[in-house]
Amino acid sequence: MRYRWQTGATSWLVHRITGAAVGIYLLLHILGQFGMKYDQKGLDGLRNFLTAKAVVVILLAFLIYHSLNGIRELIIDFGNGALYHKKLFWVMMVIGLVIFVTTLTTL
Amino acid sequence: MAYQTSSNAGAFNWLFQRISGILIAIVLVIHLGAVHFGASPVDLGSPSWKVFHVAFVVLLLYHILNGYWLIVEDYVRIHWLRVSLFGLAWVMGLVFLILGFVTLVPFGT
Repeated sequence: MRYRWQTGATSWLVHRITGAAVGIYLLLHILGQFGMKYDQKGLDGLRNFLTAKAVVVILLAFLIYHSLNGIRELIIDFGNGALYHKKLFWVMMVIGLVIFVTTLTTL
Repeated sequence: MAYQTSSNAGAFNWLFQRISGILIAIVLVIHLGAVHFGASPVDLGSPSWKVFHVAFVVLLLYHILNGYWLIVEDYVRIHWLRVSLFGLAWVMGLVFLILGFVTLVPFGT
């Protein structure tokens, strides 16, 4: 498959990558909580990894991107977002940056 | 599209990926606010929070595994591998559904 590096295709590809990463994180989060409930010492390392500051910061960035680009896709699919999808992308990124910085200050 | 079983096999998944996505966005904000960024601790062992989190797990598993399947459909061309990876999605779904249930249902006891 060949990719065209324009706003639409790039945002779609990043949506996939962030989705896969956040998906794996949340599955591991479920596994980690299972380990805590049933006192599985072997899963302590996993929970420490998932709550490491660097991992949480990346998770938040990916999660915020995936959520906001998902909302953008909804506006394109069900509204008239296709007419201004590029502008909408950057609006979402500015909103995302504000949310990201705000969340970081409370970490 | 060579392996689709019926003409509208993708339409349901397409729509429900969006519906589950909207619901997850709402539930996620509540989950993060109450559990991870909350000023005061909440009782996750209460029935309403258990129902909330079981629903969260179900929505997430659908959204994650459907997304996984969309990716497999796009990149994997070998038939037997596609079938195996489809099976893997169901196994993962069942395993994590059980993990989520046995963690959440007796939570706080």
